[in-house]
Amino acid sequence: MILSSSEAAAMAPEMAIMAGILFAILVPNLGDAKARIPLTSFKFPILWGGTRFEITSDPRAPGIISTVSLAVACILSLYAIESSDGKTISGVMEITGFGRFMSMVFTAALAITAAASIYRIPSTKITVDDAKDADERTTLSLMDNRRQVDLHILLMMVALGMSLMALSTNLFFLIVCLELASMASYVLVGFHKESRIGGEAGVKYFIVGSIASATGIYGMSLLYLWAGSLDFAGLSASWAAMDTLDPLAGIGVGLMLVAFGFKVSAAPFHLAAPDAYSGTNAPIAGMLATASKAMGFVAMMRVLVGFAAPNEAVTAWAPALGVLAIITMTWGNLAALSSENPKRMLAYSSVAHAGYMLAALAALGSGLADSNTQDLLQMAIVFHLSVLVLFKMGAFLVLTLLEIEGTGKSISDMNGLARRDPIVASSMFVFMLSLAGIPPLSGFLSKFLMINGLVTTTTDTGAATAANAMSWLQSVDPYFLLALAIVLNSALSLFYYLRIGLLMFFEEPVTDSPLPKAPLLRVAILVSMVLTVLFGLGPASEWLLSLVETAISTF
Amino acid sequence: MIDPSWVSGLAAILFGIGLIGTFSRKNGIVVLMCIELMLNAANLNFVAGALNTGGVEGWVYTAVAIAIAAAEVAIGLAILLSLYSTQETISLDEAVMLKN
Repeated sequence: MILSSSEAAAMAPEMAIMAGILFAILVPNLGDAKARIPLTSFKFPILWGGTRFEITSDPRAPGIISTVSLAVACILSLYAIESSDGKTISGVMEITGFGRFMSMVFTAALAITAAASIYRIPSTKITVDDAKDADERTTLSLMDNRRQVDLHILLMMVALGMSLMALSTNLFFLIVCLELASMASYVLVGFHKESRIGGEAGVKYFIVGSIASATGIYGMSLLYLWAGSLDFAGLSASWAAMDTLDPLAGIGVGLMLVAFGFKVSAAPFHLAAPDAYSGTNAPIAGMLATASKAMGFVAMMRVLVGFAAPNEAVTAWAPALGVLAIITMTWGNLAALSSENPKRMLAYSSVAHAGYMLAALAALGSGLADSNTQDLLQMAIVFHLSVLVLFKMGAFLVLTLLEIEGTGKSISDMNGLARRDPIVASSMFVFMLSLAGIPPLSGFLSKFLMINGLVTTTTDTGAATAANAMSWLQSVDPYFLLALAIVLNSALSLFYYLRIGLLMFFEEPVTDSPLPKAPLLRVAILVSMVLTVLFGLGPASEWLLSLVETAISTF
Repeated sequence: MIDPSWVSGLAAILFGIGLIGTFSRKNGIVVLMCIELMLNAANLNFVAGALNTGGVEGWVYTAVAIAIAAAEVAIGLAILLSLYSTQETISLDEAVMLKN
């Protein structure tokens, strides 16, 4: 189907990503090839093939293309948030402020990933700088260039799938976009196929991921059998018309939650996450922990809040989700306490964060929240997803820096980082504090919004005449316990977050050699650190909150 | 014409076989086949839904879901191949390097 020009303009961010994919395919093939006009000796350059130019065969070229196109898509989405008017496209997409806000979050995360992997994973052990002569240098840079093309096209595919997913109004289209993004990320996880753990991480992530998504697709087919349509409007009407929970609909939604639960790494579907994170490269692990998680939560909100919102007759999923949230956050934090690999620790901490957001989602479905509180809870989830891109990704970027150096496999590699590089170490400390939720950082603000939402939802249900705290706690609605669980878990998580700080500032460094230069990576770390601080307090945080509010109002 | 409920019943059985297979088999390729069974169960359900509603929508869903399944296999075989080339096994319980 051909888009009209106004539809194409409304989809400008996706167009930018598509252009990036096309350029990443075309540009590395530009060379000095000439074609001869038949029957003459006249030759003219066609620029396609032949000996590649130095600039098009540079290993950094694909990375620059993808970083630029993703950053452009991010900025275009940012400008489209306020002006989106709910235009429908092809009957399966609707350009809303919410969709555009999430596109911005996804493309921002992917742009940082692309910038951090501009020149990673060379194709051979010999790098371009080790080349003995000019010929070898050309060959090596061409091979690395091809490899970078593959990596960055996959990154842009992930961005495209996620961005379209956020706009969809049809469950089937949502799943197709989700699959586009997840299949590209399966390959990305196993991308470093020469290392012994790369293939294994890929297999584990792929097998668990595709079982989860096959289950989700089967659940979706049950919903189709039940409602006869997969439009959110049609599904929503059928759901609202139910007097008692139809088993077909209940099982369908439950099975879809398995697929989305894997994406957000909620217990008990999180078991592949630590293996995948520790087996793959740090920027890609950061992408999984931020963009992929946000994608899962958007899909979950589309299904649970979008059409399966509880009505008077049916309140099925909220208690189950609440129990799952508590298990997820406790399991994640306990496992993080005992991990000795920083990437595994961050993976488990990301499981714990999924638990916090699931708690807010459960309160949304409890049927206790009025419309203001519901907006507050949704705001908390979306705000958390967007600032997570800064501090979770930032922590993975610091690990990327260590990975370039060849360390970062064990938590003791953090020892004395402050003495080796004070700026990187203090950035890492800021990220850790923000993950733990210490004021005035943005991690605190999002957690504060979440607990505020949970408490406002439930406190009125407690007995006003209770004599002491214990008897009040017994009378209050059980959803209040979710807020309590978040607070207790945050205290628990402080141990392992502060341990990193302790190691960085008070231990003796193993070596005195400075960290790798990697200027672009350092800029990305610094920007993430500054934004983590700014979005926690003051005008910048109010700006982001108002943006989230606009987005939520069009959900 | 076959009653659509028979079709969805067959789909449920297929899905069950696939799900049990993914948990009980250790060979990567066999697990991949079981995942295919699960996806095909979803396809049969779409067909049953198309018979129910009489519209063209369900058939389109089926065709696209087959394409998803095909992409899944292509990626799965490639990833299993990369596991085989480094660890010389495709047995899922022998790939245990990533523990802590």
